[in-house]
Amino acid sequence: MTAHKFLKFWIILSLLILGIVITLNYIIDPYLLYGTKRIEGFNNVKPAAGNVSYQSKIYLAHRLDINALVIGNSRPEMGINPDHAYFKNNHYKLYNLGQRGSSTATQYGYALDILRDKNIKMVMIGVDFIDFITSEENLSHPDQWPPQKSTQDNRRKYKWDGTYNDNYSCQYYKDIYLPLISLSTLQDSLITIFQQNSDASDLLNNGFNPAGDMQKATRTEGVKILFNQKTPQLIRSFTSRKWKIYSSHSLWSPSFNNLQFLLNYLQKNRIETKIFINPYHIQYLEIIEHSGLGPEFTDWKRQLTKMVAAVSKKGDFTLWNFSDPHIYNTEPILNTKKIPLKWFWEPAHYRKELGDLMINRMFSPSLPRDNKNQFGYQLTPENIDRHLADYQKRLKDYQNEYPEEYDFIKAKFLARIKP
Amino acid sequence: MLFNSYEFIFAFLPLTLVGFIFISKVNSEKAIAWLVAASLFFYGWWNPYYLVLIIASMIINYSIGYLINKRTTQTHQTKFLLFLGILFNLSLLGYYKYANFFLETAAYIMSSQYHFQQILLPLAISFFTFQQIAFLVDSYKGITKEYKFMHYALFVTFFPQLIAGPIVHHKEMLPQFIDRKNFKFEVNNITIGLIIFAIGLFKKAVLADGIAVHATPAFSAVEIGQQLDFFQSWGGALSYSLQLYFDFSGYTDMAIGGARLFGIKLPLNFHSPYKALNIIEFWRRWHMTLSRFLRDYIYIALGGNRKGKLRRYANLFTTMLLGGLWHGAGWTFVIWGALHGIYLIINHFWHFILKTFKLTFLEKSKIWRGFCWLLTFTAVVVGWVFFRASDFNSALLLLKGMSGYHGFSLPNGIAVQLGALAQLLSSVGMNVSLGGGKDFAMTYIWIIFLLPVALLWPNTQQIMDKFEPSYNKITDNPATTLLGDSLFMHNIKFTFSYGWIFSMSVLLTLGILALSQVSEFLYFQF
Repeated sequence: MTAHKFLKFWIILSLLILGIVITLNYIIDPYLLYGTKRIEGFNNVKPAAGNVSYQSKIYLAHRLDINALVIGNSRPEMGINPDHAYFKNNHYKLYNLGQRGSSTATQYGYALDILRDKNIKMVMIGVDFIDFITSEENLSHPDQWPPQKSTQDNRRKYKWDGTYNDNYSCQYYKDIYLPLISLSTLQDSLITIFQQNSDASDLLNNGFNPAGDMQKATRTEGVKILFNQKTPQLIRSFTSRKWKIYSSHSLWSPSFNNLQFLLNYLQKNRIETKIFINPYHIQYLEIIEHSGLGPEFTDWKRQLTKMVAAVSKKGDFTLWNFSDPHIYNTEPILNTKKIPLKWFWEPAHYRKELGDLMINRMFSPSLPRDNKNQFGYQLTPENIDRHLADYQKRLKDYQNEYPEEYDFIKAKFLARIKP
Repeated sequence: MLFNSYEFIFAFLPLTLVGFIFISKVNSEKAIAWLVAASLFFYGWWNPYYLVLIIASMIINYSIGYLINKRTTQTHQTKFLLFLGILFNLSLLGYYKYANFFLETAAYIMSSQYHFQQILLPLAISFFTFQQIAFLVDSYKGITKEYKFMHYALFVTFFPQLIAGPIVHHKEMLPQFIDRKNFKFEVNNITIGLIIFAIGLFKKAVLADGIAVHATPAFSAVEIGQQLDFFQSWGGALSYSLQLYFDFSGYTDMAIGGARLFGIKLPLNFHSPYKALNIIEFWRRWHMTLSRFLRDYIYIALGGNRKGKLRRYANLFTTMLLGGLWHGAGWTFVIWGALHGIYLIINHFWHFILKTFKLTFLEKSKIWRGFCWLLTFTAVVVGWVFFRASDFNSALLLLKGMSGYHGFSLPNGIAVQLGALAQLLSSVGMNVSLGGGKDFAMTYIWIIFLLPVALLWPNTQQIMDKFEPSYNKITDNPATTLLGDSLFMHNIKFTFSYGWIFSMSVLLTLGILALSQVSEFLYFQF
């Protein structure tokens, strides 16, 4: 064979293989970028979609016909199920825009993008303490606007002020078409084909993360191991710096600024809004307390209450608190085996079952809204002091009722300060 | 512009090649000028400011070289010119690469809090400075001459070798630049060049970048003081050793392949270094053109082995120390260089013992050879820990982990799969760490896959042997090469065949698919 013939066939075959790969990546659509049909046993489960959800979820939301949104981080992404009967019965086409590991700037920036493009009637905002704590150096300009630029900003059609983002088209084409000719997409396409089971990680078309991987991890390793694994990470996160929720001189922070901007937009456009404080397992709450952040947690709830009350003219904006100790988040973990807890995967993430109860609570008009014995209640400037006092009492009750469980978390802190 | 980027592969390289083919049909001098212009564009892509520096450096060196060449004998004047040229080059390198390092070290010693403004390191300065010093010395010795600035400019800037070598000698390149035969369009050159380039792209973009994700976490962890156990530490160190291997090997292939497209053959720079059975052999195979420079222009200049054993060892140590510093202005590089200096001294001393006590028969024993390889490879990996670590303390922390000081553990996710075996392992001191173990498993899968490739497979030059891929040819010395006669070595030889069309198509496609995750070559930072 001559060099010329070799070169010719080599180029042709390479192009052919490249074409096959592009087609495969498109058909399998491992990141939900192309809206290709999901086929049971072939590409129905998307184990790799969560890895690039920054990229895929916002474009997916733009493509879909939706009229309601869930906003927040990974907690509502895993907990609030858009297929809940309430939404279906009330003609809400809900999309879960929860973004794992995201800042409030990304969460609310993405949300504004969808709000500006779609006719959204109802919004649920899951607010999270960890997204609001910040270090002193970030509080030098607490009312800085617009927020500091991040790489995710290019994925938004609109800037904060509502004008068109010139970088969007370029980023969109890069995000959508580059994965077709990417080795990591090919790898994830193959993983998609070979991991078609309910144990795999997944991302549904409505943005919900069914947490199949958590199910598997619990079954193979056990609940206690997952708690053991997550607890040191949480302790590290909460104690790595001197965290604050706002600047002491202005009682304000960039995250409050971002939330205020979103709330103002929602109010101006008369969109029904439910803000909810995510539930945490009691171990998570104890970590907050032991990290010395209890007062910040209290101030944060106060500030949220004030903000929501200020924008809520006719009770169309409500703030719900699901973070208090309750039977749902005090499940003991020390004697658990390889069966998941009923309401939590690990200290930081609640299950869909608990999310369903939260939806029932927030949308059911028949239940009293300010009953401290109910799981979740509406926080208002009138009842906040009472609830905050009750929170402390509930923590104490838990410590007395489950001394061994409480010692478990205390031991983690002691282990940290050992030389 | 990176070799592993869309703009290089699909725009710069084809346009430069097409321009070169057409212009060389008209005039070969103009074709050389075209290549110089393209190379300068390639260099200026990162930062056009650098262009001023490289052009000024070329003009000054060319002028000094020209003045030296005009004199037929070595005189005081030529010696002074050479001194001036070397001083200029070292000052340039010293200012841009080492000024901050020395000032910060001085400030540290004097406990000063003064903060120095960072000087932007011009790309490839270490490479083009050394290349030009070699030119001046060779001109002084009468080994080479250059009268055409354009030829000289191409010798310095030729884009395939500009950024990270090979460090070429003027005498290797000039005859190729003036040989009209090289300017003729040859499908053979294009095909061979593209094959070598594609193999290099695959090594870099798929293999080196693939294993890199398993090297970085270990080094990042020790940087923040985290203690890693035995398996995590070795996983990180071995991953980095293989990342660096395939990164540099891939880059060298791409440089050699890229040059071949223009009919130019570059010298070998990388010859399966992990197959070496001793550290002397390792340095004959790793970054060969740098080793050659260090030997010819530092070691020999210091007196080499001409002034007795002790002086020889001191020269070796100094040369390696400077070699370490060449790689980067930092104490970890100095330690790495010093470590290799010590390795080489021990190795030379051991050779002396072998000869004196007539122990050379050992070299025939397979067990002994296996031990030699293990010792050499371990020494190299330990060296890489200093080479990669951000500071001395994190390097020590990782080495402690590698020694087993921080214990032995398996991730829980893997331990639960082992069943009874896990209990057995636990009884011999194996702990269980938290985590699913996916990263742990992937790290060792990559290592198990790549290490045999580095140890058993022929390298690109050996695969392409029939087609004279490089300027020089190296034959393995069986006495110092691990498994130099393995089955793979004999069976993997490139031919123009359908089998190779298929293999190369897969390699090229995977290489192109990996372009979407752009990453720099490790040797670009030197």
